Amino acid sequence: MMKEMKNIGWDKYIDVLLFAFLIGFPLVGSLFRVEMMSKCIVYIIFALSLDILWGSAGLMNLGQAMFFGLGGYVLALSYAARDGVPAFMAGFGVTEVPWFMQILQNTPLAVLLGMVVPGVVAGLLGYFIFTSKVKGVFFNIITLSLASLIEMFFNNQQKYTGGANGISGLPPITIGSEPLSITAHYYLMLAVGVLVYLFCRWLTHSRFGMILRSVRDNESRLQFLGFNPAAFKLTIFVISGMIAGLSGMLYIPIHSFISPGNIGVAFSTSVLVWLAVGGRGNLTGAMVGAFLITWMESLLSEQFENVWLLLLGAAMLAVVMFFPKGLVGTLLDWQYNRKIDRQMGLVQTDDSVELRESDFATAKGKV
Amino acid sequence: MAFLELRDVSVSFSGFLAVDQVSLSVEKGETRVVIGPNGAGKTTIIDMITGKTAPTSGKVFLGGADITGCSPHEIAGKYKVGRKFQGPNLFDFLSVYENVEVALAGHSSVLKTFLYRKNKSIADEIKTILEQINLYGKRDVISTSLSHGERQWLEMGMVIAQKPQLITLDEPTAGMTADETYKTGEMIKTMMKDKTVIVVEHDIDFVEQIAETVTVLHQGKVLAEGTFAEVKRNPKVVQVYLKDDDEEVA
Amino acid sequence: MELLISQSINGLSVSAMLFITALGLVIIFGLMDVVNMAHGEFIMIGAYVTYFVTTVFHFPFLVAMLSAFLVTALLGIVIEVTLIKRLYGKVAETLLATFALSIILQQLVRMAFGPEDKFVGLPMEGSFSLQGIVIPHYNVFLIAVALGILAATLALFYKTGFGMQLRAVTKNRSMAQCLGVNTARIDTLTFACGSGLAGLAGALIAPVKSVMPSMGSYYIVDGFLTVVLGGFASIAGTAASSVVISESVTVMAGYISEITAKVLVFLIIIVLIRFKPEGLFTSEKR
Repeated sequence: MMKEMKNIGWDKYIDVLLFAFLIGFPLVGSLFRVEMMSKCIVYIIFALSLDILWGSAGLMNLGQAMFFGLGGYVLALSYAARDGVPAFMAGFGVTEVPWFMQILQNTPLAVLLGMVVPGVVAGLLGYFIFTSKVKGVFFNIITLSLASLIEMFFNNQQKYTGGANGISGLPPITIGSEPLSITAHYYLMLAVGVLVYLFCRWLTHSRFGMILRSVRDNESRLQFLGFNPAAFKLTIFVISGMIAGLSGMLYIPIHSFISPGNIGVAFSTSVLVWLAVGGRGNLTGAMVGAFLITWMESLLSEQFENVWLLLLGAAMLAVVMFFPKGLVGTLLDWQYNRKIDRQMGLVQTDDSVELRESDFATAKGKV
Repeated sequence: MAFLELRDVSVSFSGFLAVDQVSLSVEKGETRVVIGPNGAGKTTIIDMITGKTAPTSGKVFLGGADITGCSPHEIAGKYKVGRKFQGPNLFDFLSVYENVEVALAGHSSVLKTFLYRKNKSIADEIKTILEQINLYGKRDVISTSLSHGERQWLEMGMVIAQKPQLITLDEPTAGMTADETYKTGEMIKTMMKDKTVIVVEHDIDFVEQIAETVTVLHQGKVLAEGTFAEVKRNPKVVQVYLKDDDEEVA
Repeated sequence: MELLISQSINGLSVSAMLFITALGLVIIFGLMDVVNMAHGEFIMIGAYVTYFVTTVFHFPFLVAMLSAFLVTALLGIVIEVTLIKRLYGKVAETLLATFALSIILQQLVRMAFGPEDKFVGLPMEGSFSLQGIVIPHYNVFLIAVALGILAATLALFYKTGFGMQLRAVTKNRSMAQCLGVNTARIDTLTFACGSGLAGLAGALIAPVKSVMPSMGSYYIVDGFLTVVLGGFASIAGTAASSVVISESVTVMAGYISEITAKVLVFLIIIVLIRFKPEGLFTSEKR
């Protein structure tokens, strides 16, 4: 039993601890803090969407927020159009609900579209990028550019998107006509979070996940085994986009507001920072990074906004230089290297392993 | 038409003619060894068969189908061609077991990877292969921890797992001790008995151990072809190998 | 028709600005394979230097240009030696580290000088009038400077010892080292060159666009797209694609909104790259 427990990655322990903490939190936290924690959970889901893309498949999306924002805006427009032409549009003389918003007036359909629209964008973009023979860094450039452009576009199209002011006055989730209490809403977010986590866990542990990691580590080898790397990259990109879109929609009821800031480069940078600091490829790092940083930000940034950003940049730099795998990643690395050492008989364990002559012939594998 | 047929295949890289109108016919179940000095175009021929490089002219046929210029994953998957690379080319951070598991035939489409479940028949399949390459005892070892020779064998095991109809081996004994080389030769003869195999090699003793037919390449062209004994006696081949030695001395 | 012509001509000065921005990028990115996400901030710093030199201390604009180049080149040296060198070869880490750096630089400037626009005056007022089409003097100046820089860079790369060493290092690093080339120093100097050019671009942009801490992020996107379209390592290609992109956007912007024009151009680039991954203007495949 102890031997098996030693073999389980420490990330699972951290996951369990985190979820236990989240489940019990409303019992100790004030309502204000519970609401903050709801927002945190939405960000955790967003972080997970990037982790399955970046951590597993090695695709660093510099504009992940565009999927978040697209999902959010779809839902926001849906709510705004529920009772006819929204105020921000009427101000521009729009008298009829535009065609693309008429579909959105049906809320369940809008929720579906909030995931489908980012998925389709990811699909089209991914198709052009992954089937091309262009350098890997191209993906980074294009995603950054697209996020920047989309943000500018939403800023610009005031008539249809509310421009820089965004769309406000959005309603919370209701049962019948009663809005959910803060605590009930919190547990709803947590439930969705747990489901997304379990889905991501299943995904990364399936054969699909193993192939994704192999695409990242040795794409050419995979091709000669009969796998089509572009198809795998495209699939994970779409899934990642859809989950990000979901988190964007979950953002709306808590904040009642969405703006181009949620769809652009700055927010994309945030999620990159969470994963860079926390670690990626193991889900835990993404959750820990998102959790720690958004909490610290909410505690510090009201008073010290500029200093906070500076500290964040410095912290990220330090992590990249000295702990490139992030906090959780470095921890898991340490555990992994001990496992390799054990395999090569270099570490005395409780069940002593004999040193074998042939083991010394190989160079020690360094991750 | 032979099982694998190259017809007047040429490849030119920015003006440099690496392969010059090579024609090759390999019968089903044959073990063909391709030898020749460095730069003769041997690996380029393999690249063209496996889809890494498209010929600038000529055609490649496999089992009657035209595979000229197809993508590597199509040739590997649809046409079932397995390729072993020159240095061992594996998934460094997966275990021996997982390396073979990835390579298993029939589970390589996106959908299939979602539906995959490891059942008894799959476990048995992997176990058989691991035993054939002598690595069943080390199945949980991460592949970077293996010795060089073991990594070469692991890659061969992965190729077998693909259940290919054509296998290309690029210098499978590179970096091996004499003992390991001999074992590899025996492995090839047993594991790949009924398969069509093309081997690129330098080690003359190894060639003698496994070859049925030998093709000699020189400067992108076919110089000679025949059994090992015939080729060894062929004056043109002798001259090419001796001539190179002379040039070094001079 | 007049609109078309005047947009085309003024598009050239936009091309000039874009070219100088992208040139720094193509040198660092195309030749050293280093992604510098803080390139936009170097432009910003160049613009701020110009603000101080001209608006605050009232020195001539040419002094500002020179100072901007030197300050950012020096900063580039410091960063290359402390950061980039340690991460050489690790693309993801370099990207993240320079990303972090861009956050830090932006914040430092914001905290030191405030978030508002800083005003930098045009070094030359007035315009030519050609058959009814108005061409500001400054635009002509920009084009002249861009051409000058293009010529200077090509001369540096193809006619000097340094340029030859740089090209050798790009093509075959270990061989160049065997031949006695100090590759570490070449790396540092190249990075400094690219950064200095960013600063210079910032100086030239300052009179015509808003100078504020966040200005960098717009230019980096444009710059990267230009480099991608022009072929990752071709100087001439970068020049050509700067013109193509800027002209397309500027001309279209006469008829539709600028941002829509940019989106269209972006989409076209993506489709183009799918079919010509080596860029529009290189013949050599990497």
